[in-house]
Amino acid sequence: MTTDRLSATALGHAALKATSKCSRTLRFLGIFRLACPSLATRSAGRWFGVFLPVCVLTLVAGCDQMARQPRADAQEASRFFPDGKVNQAPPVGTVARGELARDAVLAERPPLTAALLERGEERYRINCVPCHGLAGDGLGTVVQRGFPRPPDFAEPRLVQAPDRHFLKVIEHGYGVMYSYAARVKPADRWAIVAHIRSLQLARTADVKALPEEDRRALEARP
Amino acid sequence: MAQLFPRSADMWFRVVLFLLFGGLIALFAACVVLQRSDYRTDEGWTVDQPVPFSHEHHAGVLRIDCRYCHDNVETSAVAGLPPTHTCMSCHSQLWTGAEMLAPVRQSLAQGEPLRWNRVIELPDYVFFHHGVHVNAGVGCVECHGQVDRMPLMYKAKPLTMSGCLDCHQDPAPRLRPREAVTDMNWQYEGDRRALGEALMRKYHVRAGNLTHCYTCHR
Ligand code: HEC
Ligand code: HEC
Ligand code: HEC
Ligand code: HEC
Ligand code: HEC
Ligand code: HEC
Repeated sequence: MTTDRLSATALGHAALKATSKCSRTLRFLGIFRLACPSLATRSAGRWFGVFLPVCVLTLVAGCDQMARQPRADAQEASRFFPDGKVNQAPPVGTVARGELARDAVLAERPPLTAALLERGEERYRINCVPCHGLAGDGLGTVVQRGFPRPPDFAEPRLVQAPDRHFLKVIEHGYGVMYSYAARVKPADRWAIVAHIRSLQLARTADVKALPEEDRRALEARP
Repeated sequence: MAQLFPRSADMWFRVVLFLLFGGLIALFAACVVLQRSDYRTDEGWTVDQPVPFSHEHHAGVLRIDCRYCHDNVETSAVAGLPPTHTCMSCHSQLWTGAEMLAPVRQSLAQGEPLRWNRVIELPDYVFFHHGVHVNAGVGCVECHGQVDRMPLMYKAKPLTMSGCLDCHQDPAPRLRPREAVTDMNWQYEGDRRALGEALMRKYHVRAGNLTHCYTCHR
């Protein structure tokens, strides 16, 4: 499991791998050879004349590397394109199919539903939690390792900030925070904003405002 | 006329025949063993990379979700290896002078992608799709093992055809809720089969034709 083991036996590895790739062919040949004695009594010469090319052909076929076909797979290197990449950026000025519709979502806030909040929580946990923390207090695991601490979402300035501000930060980044536009789809940005709003509410709301049942559950916790 | 063959010729002929036959069997056995060994499946082997990236550190200790970096895994066939931009969203501020990360900074400066060497790869004649599995509630752990405990990436499961078929014949006991697909330590106390069957109905998984050859070879 270590690199040492790999480098020390790299040659043997390659050789053995090549042998095992042909194993099926060899097995196949074995069956033929066992059948030979009965054939030998008859016109052995003619049989042999057919048999030998068949053997050679199956051997060649068995070693053919169908496993690595000359086709372009995602993220592979390419000798065809000048920049050496299979994944090409779209030409400047083109608009991908459906892109306008995806971006149009940004113009208007979607209705607040349980599904939107759920999606928002999931996307927030994936993309934002490492720095902003589960509670949005800016104490994620990466910040504890020395990343600059982001502001607390419950700060009055951010509670009062319009939704647009959050959308803009996700799209373009802010200060040392990079842009997340490539990874968070427009519809998901609204979901994340909804979740940040619920975090802000959770951090500032009065316990007495909770429904009876939830309040008791909260107070029962240590 | 003198005898062409000595008396022992017959014995030698039999010995040679026997050895040939035994040799064939031994060769066959060796092939079968090799075919199943980790030499062929690559199980447990690490691969040299331009940067010694540690999943144990990032996914385990820092608890970063798999989808922070492998962001296509829910929607597309390939999970996708992260672009340099993703690494730099943290390493623009952290470990900025580290020798280990020099190739990452150079990649960003020159606009040249990092060339990761693939660790887990199926032969090109097999069709695989991540999104279908993730959305059906198959966790990363089922196929990639405990990634959050891998200092260097290696193949934890052989991912041979029989491995795929084992699950395709009866996926129910190995499914989990979608929310838990990237959770490496998810546990369920109740009946996994009952849960799996409920999830199959919920996610509209049609198990009927999953073992047909054209599912994976097309
Ligand atoms: C790599 C760490 C990191 C991640 C991940 C991250 N942020 Fe930030 N964020 C920061 C830092 C650091 C700041 C403070 C930037 C500054 O002031 O220079 C910040 C600031 C912000 C601000 C406040 C801007 C202001 O007006 O002060 C918002 C809002 C925000 N981030 C939202 C998000 C959202 C939403 C996500 C997830 C999609 C996210 N961040 C992911 C590090 C991060
Ligand atoms: C911080 C970014 C990051 C996170 C988080 C992350 N990965 Fe990765 N992953 C990478 C990089 C970079 C590589 C390529 C280098 C390597 O193979 O080690 C990779 C490679 C892999 C590979 C091997 C791909 C191949 O064929 O070469 C698998 C499988 C994988 N990751 C699964 C996971 C799983 C499962 C998780 C969640 C537990 C996860 N990753 C979290 C960055 C990340
Ligand atoms: C969400 C933030 C984040 C992202 C994204 C990230 N890293 Fe890191 N990485 C860290 C932190 C934090 C440390 C330092 C951990 C410590 O100090 O214990 C680190 C440490 C490292 C180290 C130091 C060696 C080690 O493992 O201890 C390497 C190498 C590294 N990262 C490579 C990468 C690469 C390559 C990528 C892009 C695929 C990447 N990182 C993406 C946060 C991140
Ligand atoms: C059903 C099994 C299975 C599951 C579940 C699965 N993978 Fe994979 N993964 C594979 C196989 C097989 C490959 C090799 C694909 C190929 O070579 O075409 C792979 C390749 C990868 C790669 C590298 C190549 C690529 O596709 O970009 C990454 C990264 C990866 N998986 C991450 C993940 C993550 C993260 C999850 C969980 C969200 C996951 N996988 C779930 C089987 C699986
Ligand atoms: C742990 C369970 C599991 C494993 C292991 C697994 N699969 Fe699957 N796979 C599923 C389930 C469940 C579905 C059905 C998803 C659906 O219909 O929504 C599926 C569907 C598929 C499909 C899509 C079928 C279609 O027509 O939509 C392909 C292709 C596939 N699997 C290939 C593979 C390959 C190749 C492997 C081995 C590397 C593999 N699977 C391993 C559970 C698994
Ligand atoms: C669930 C997905 C799946 C299904 C269904 C499936 N295969 Fe495969 N098959 C694979 C995978 C994955 C491999 C690659 C195995 C490896 O690399 O070890 C493979 C490899 C093969 C090979 C090459 C053998 C070798 O070891 O190199 C043959 C031949 C084959 N399959 C035939 C079939 C036939 C015939 C069927 C229908 C009865 C079938 N497969 C159904 C996934 C599948």
